[in-house]
Amino acid sequence: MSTLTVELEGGKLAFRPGEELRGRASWTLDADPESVEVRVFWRTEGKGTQDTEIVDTVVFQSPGRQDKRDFKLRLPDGPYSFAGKLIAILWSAEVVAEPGSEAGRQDIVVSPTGKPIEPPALPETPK
Amino acid sequence: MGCIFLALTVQGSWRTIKTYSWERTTCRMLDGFVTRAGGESGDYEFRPRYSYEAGGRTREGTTYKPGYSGSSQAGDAEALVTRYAKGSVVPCYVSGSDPEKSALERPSLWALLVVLFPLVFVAVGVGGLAFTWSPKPKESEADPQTRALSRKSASPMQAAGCLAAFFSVFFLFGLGFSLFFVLPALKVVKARAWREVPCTVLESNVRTHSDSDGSTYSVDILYEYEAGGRMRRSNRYEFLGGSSGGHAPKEAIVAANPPGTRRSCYVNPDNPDDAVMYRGLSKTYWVVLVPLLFAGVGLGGIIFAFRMRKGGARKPGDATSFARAGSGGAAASAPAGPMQLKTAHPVARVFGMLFLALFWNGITGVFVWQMVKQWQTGGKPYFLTCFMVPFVLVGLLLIFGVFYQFLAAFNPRPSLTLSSSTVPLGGSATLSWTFTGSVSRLSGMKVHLEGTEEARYRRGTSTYTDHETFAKIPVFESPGGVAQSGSAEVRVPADTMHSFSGGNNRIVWALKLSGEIPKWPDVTESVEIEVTPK
Repeated sequence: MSTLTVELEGGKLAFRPGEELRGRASWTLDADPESVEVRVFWRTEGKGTQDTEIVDTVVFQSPGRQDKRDFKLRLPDGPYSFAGKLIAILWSAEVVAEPGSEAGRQDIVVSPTGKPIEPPALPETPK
Repeated sequence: MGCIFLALTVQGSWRTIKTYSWERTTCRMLDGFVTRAGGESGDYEFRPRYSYEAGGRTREGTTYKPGYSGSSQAGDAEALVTRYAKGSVVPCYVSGSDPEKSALERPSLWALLVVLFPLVFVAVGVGGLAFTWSPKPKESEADPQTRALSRKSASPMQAAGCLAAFFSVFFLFGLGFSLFFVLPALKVVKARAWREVPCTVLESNVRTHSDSDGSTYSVDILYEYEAGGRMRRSNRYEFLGGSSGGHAPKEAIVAANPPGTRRSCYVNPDNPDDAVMYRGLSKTYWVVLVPLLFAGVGLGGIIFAFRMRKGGARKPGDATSFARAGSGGAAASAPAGPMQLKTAHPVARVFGMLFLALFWNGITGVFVWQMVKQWQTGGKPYFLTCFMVPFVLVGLLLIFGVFYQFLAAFNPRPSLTLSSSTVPLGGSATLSWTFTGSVSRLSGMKVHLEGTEEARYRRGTSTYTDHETFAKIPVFESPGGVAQSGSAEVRVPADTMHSFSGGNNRIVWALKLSGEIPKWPDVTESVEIEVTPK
């Protein structure tokens, strides 16, 4: 069974917008890969149909069946990690091997406060 | 089923193709006349008789074209009598394997396109089976923890293409059906220059066309006139062909033209077999508005899709642009300085609501009309009546909406300007407004900034959008009278969420203005603004 992992430098999991993401991707695959890359992306979860966007990618040259590579990715200014009532915006760094789209993932937080933005509850409107 | 239809169609098409292997020769016309087919069709059929040489002897043929069964227009059959005049020598076709088989013309190869119709069903069926039986992609079987969640999102081009394709169906069908009215209307215009000749009514009937959906009717008046040196016959009453519901109007036309009536008809100077009795525009032509409405909706949708493609799926202020590494964010690229906030023009709102009401009630009206007809003719369509009630209620609400928007169009109208095109989290901007119209009618005014989550999702074949307001920030409140113009500061908290648009999910910030007018529709405006990350 294939194993893919992403480790971030210093075990850091919360990042400020625009910050650099450094880490190491390692993998042990059942077959020789055609390509291996690390992607940083956001996705939505919640009631709506999922949206997702890859914001930066590092493609490794000549990847082996068992390998380890360092990477550097730049985070954009947004969107912030968000935890609303209908929508959540989640960020991850993911190493993906093709064919088969096998992956290893590390969830992160992108926000100025180091925590997902949680809107405060609205005060009750008097009737 | 598609395969059965395909087999039947191919069998018919094969007969057509075979005639193209027949030998071309010459035939001498012995006779040719028009006869009326028996039964319900009552079509006018050209019956030729000709002689030809084949297999070392002279033979006789009576086939005009394999598969030909006449025409509803007497003029079409009469034109064939002219073309294949007695004594003339014309080209014809004889089967090489059976010289007894012959024809003056061969079926058009265009008819082979009919094979495409069952092919569509076969393709859908084969596609469905292939989808059902094909092995599922490996990734769907994989553990979600080890399956890649990142994927390239559909490009704006793809989304716009799908939308344009969807609206193209409306446009093409609307345009196609409107041609049934537009082409005869063009002939009406051309016929203004046709020659007026006396004609005599030979037969006069209302023709009934029955099928499983009921009966429709058409005027069938056969008349005789002289043109091109001989007597000719036609049964074209007006250029708009086909049949429709409503027996009484057709009966009135037939009653006004009994057999023996002498009146004026109109003949095409370039083709004496082309004649018409009434060359005006009847009320039926107004039906063209229905397919034109569909074509209009389709065209509007296509234009919208192309504009969407041009601008990309994301507007300049959409926050997903922040997600692009190194872009510097949309805040950097957005134009600085004051920005006029666009609100919908009241006349556009009236026409928008009117269009929606016409579209909805136009479609609903067809079913209501059918339902009323059934009640009138003694039927008891209880199920259809119950089914139609909610649709009719929505239609009435839309009509109410038209009146509401019409009254609201006379309200004082605010023009809104924000001192900056974007407002960062923790920042502020000045909102200015100026009213046009009688502002003294307003008894109070409120402005607030509202942050809302919007989630769009599909359930079955329908798409829904849920909203959840997470912030409501007062900007201005005037409980008494309202000045012609004013301004207020819009302050966005630092610890909230910026604008975001992922396609299906959005975080929307909007300035909402409401002005109360006693016993009248209130002034309400809502304009989106862009809140950027710090």
